[in-house]
Amino acid sequence: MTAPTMTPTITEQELIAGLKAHEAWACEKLIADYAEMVYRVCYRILRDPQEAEDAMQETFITVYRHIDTFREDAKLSSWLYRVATNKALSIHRSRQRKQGLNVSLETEEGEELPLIDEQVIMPEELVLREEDVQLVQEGLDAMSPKLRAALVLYELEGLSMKETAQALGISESAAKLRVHRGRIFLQQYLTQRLQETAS
Amino acid sequence: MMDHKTFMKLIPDYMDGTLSQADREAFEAFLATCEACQKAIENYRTISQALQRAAQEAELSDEAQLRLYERFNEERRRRGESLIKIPADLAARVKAKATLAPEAAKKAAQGGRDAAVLATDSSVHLARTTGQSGKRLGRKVKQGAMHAAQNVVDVAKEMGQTIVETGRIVTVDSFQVLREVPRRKRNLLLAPPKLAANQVKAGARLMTGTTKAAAKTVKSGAVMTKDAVSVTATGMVESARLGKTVAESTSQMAQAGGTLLQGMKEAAKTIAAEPPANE
Repeated sequence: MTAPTMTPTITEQELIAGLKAHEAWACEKLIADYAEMVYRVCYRILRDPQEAEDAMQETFITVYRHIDTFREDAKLSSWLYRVATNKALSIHRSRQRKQGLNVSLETEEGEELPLIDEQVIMPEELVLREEDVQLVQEGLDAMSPKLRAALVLYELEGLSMKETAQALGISESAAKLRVHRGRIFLQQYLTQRLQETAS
Repeated sequence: MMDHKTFMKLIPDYMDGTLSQADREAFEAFLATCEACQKAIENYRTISQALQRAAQEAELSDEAQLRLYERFNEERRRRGESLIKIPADLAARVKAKATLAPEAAKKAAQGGRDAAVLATDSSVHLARTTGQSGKRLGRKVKQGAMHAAQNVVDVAKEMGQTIVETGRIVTVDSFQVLREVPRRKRNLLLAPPKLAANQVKAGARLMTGTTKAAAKTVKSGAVMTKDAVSVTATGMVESARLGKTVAESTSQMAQAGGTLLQGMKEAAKTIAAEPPANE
């Protein structure tokens, strides 16, 4: 199979077919079209360029090796989001193990334990200034990577809750809860830090 | 029935516009009556905006992209598949950077070396200038100190000469008078001048010693000048102090000389006033 040069653009179905046939042009297009996106997601979850690059490489190799199992009615980008998120979280867990940190804060179902009391969702009004961007980044750093991944996919990548759930490999309601908890965590963190700064 | 908990759960759907019409109406009705929920909606927007602002740019570098192509080819090589083509512009950019990097490093090294040479030259020049200034200052200090010491010696010599001359005159005059004085009274008359003479001797010894000490101090000060201006300054202060001591000693000696003269004059008057005794 050769690249369908007669058509002005290659459709996703053609690309998937080319990948399943292990065509060189399809691999080239896969990298050209999705490398930036995959790296961005991995970086936002891991917040480390080297680890993000490792996660990106693992994502593409995994997709290539398992392309035969991919259902052609699904969206390739959704699958890439899911693989990239899993690779990033896997690398994060591996990093924690190397550092001797406890990684058992997550249940078997992959849900975080209720670290935050649901009652705290009645907050004081949060006022952020332009210069508080650094605090927001610190809050993201302090957050569990699973909550961060949910926020990255939903808030920053602009995926719908359903797409976020698919990328995270969880139900939509579970995804909603993660996004919600991520927001509450960030809100609490920012409120506390702003109070410390003010006092 | 809407409550806080339900309201909070529905916020994302409301913000995404995915609530059914009935749910949205119930949501908005509750929102209108609840101040805390209004704050929660505001905070939701604030957090979303803050996240967008804080989203760090995660630009994939050319080098990382090239490594991805290489990793992919590694996989394909392992499978016995043809290699994929690395985009020419990407390879060219990475190659250009690889070429530029050593060149930039070389330039940086050259710049660093030039800066180091310049800094060394400046330091040597500064050291030379400072050394020359120090030497000039040292020479001036030494000349000044020697001049001051010479003045002290000259004054002392003149003082000594005057005392000797005065003593000689007084002695000649006194001798003329004493020739006419009986031996008994002569001893009595000579006691104060002898005492004064002893004082003059002691003063002279003191002056000699002090002058020697001053000369040594001046020499020491000159030596120290070679080493450091600050040390020389201390030597100068010491020299000045000793010079003052010399002047004070000289003044005391002059007073002693005056006392001697006065005593001898009074003795001469007394002797002259008495009639010659018959022995």
